[in-house]
Amino acid sequence: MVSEPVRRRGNGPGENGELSASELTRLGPVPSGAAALASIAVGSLLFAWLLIYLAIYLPRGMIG
Amino acid sequence: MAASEHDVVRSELRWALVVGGFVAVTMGLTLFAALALHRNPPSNLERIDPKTLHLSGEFTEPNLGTRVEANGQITARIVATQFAFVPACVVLPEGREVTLRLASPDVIHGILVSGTNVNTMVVPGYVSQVHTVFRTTGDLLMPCHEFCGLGHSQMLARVRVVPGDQFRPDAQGRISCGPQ
Repeated sequence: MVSEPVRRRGNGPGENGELSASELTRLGPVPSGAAALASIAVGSLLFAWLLIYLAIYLPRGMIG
Repeated sequence: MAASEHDVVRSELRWALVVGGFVAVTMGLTLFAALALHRNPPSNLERIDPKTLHLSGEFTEPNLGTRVEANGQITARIVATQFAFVPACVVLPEGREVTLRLASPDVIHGILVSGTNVNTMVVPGYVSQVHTVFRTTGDLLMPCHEFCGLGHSQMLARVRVVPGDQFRPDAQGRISCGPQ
């Protein structure tokens, strides 16, 4: 059993679930980057949906 | 600065709000189009015997094409068959509500009218029905969009949309594209 996080091998947390200070520092900025990427992806999707809805679907007239 | 568990939960909740907003916007616009603008997926559950539809009933040859009914309703009846539409051209007026009714005696076909939202499958055994209002005049292409066999690519019809004052049915309420 490895008790010191710094000496662990692999990428996951230790058995007690803790990460070392350096690992936490490196992981800290990741969520904001992921959030920005996801926001751009979802925003693009919504924009494309609205573009098709407003520029193609609505002008093409009623259907039923 | 490392994110605490609290920050992560807040971030996830914020993201859930964004996704919820996305779904609400798309659902809201879809409902608005359906309820206020009368734009719905064509749905008509009406059975017809594909083996005899050409022998009796509304899809016999004399009934095909455009007809103005006694109540003023304008209906175009079309048979979609391998590999043609009968008739291959129908005349309909601009700016008035019209009904397209289609049936197939053989395999599954599909239609769309270019530049409009008209788009439906034509399934043997069922009558496909679409209500619409054409906003542009001219010859609109109506191809089969469901692969129906080797001649599928040749299966094409036209919807001739004419201005309202040029839509002049005869005494029987019939109007056609003329000799093809």
